[in-house]
Amino acid sequence: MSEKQAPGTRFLRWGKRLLWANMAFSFIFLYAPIVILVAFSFNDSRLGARWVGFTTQWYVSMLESEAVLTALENSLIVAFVSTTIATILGTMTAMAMERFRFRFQRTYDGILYLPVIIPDIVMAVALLAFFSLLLGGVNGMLGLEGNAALRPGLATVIIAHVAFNISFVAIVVRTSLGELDAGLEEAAQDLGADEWTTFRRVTLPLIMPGILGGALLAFTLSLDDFVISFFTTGPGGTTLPIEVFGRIRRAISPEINAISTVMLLVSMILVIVSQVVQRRSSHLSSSSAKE
Amino acid sequence: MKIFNRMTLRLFALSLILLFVLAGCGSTSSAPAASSSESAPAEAAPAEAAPATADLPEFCGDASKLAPELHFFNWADYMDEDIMSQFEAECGVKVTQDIFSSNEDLIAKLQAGNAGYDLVIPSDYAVQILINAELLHKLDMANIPNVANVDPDLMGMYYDADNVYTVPYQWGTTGLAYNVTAYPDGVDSWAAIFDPAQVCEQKGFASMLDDERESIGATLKYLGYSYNDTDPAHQAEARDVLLAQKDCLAGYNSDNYNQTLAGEEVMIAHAWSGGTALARSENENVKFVIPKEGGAIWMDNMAIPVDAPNIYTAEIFINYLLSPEIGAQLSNYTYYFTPNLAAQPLLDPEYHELLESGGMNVDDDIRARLDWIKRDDTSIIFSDTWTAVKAR
Repeated sequence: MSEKQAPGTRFLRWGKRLLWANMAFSFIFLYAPIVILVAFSFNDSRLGARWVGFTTQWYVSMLESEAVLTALENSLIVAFVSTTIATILGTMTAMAMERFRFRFQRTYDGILYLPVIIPDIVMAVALLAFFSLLLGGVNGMLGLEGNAALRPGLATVIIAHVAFNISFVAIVVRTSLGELDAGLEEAAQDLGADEWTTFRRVTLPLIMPGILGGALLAFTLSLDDFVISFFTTGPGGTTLPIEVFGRIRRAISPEINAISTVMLLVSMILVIVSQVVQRRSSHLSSSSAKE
Repeated sequence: MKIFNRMTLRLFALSLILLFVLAGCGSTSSAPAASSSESAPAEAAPAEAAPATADLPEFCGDASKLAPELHFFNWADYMDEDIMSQFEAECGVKVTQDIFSSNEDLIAKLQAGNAGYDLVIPSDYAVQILINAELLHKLDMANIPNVANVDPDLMGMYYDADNVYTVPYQWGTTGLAYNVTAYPDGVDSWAAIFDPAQVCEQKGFASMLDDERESIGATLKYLGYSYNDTDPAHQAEARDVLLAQKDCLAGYNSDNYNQTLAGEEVMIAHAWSGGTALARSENENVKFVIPKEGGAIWMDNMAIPVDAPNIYTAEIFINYLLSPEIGAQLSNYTYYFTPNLAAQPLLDPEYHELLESGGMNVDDDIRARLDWIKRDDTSIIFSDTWTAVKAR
């Protein structure tokens, strides 16, 4: 083969080089900012304008800061609870949309995409108006005043996050439901499984990657959200993005870099765990299929 | 059954990781807190359990009227957390702080009603808006005797002429920050940044605040008008000056001008005093001046929303913040000016020296040259002028 080179080989080699360059640049653009962020979290300067020296004091001060820890805790609570609820509701919605035909299904289908499409700020203001009306109404009806009155807080943030996350989960799960071979479910039922058993032992495991993917997406979106959180939160409900965004006004201190580095680590661990779990489960299901 | 178990396991693993992270943060946070007491001021009260309500210090007021918790809505990084824990240790009131990042955010929250905050920190013009919307509570000064500590020159400002609704929190100025290596003789006029011949000597090393009121206001000052001039002819003049200057600027920057100043990426900058002080603490070459034509003054204020659940406790906390020791502790932390005359002698000498030698301190002479930025229906022209400047 090497003796009679095809006329296209030269071109092919150049193409390959270009592709390599493309990949290298993509990685640089994607990861250089992250590397700098991590590096500057060890910078011994309050302003972080230039490299002064190595220190781990920002990690210490971050861990000592009540405000940062509370914000992190709030963010994780919101992300975890809203992801759990949204994943369950979103999966149910996806099943309903994919498996059943009902009145106004098309309308509902369209509405389901709304939170994905409309700008965050529109949804945020709508939710603020909604909560203020709702809570005001309930307080008025029950005669709640002062400290007893219901008011926005972490709970309203969680509800708001569930509201937009349902759509994301439903869309992802619907895709994997659509790819599912209906024959498998029929086969299970032919072999005597009732509907619940079929769902639990055939459908659910098969769409599990979709559900997990949707849940991870929801978790990330929730952890990341600033606009909707800000407008729906109340006393004691400052989340990490709200805290970080507020701090930038003063000086982007390396403490923020330290928080971001920790968040980066947490999300990397999450991704790795989900990959391992998925790989193992596909391995297990293929080996159990052999049995 | 097997599959179901696997799913629960996965969820369980996920939650375990999260719990681990949370617990890890929680436990490490409590350990170093004790060892770092050196950074906390010496007068910090022993953070034992909340004292018995019977023998609270006098400044805690009537213990029976105190709420167990106070909700504080503040700018980020604008309160020493030690102060909140000291107040909790002394008076048994837990202060929780939440963050907003602009006056407009704060106004939106309060306008929606039932926000649940007991103490908020609006800036001057925002106070005016909140008072007009009847969103602020009239302070009971009998509960705030420490208001006597406040500089009389900073009381009775245009937005709350009789201090019915607000008392000062922190304040600052807007002027010019410069690097002495580029300006060995110092700077005394806005011409240094507005005269094209002068600013272009520092081409690419000059920056203006990205703020329509501040940047156009400073230009108006340079031209000999007021910060709040809305005369279209004067605004057009200001626009032309800004356009002529634009080519020699590194950019418009109000977020991290303090970083670029400290890193010497910028040699002259239209800047706020607090951020410049922060830059100077990193780089001694950075100095500040209120140009001879004049600059701007702003003030953030303590106010209580009209629907706040714990009004009495909020007033007691305001009084606490206005005490001399706490006032000094606060400004040592924020790097802004304290309105508290009684606190001034107690300021950290190093910090005081930093402001004095850096040209940030304000004497009567400088004070007379400072304008407040006011907003009314005619202020919209600033947006039009700013758009014309930024668009080109």
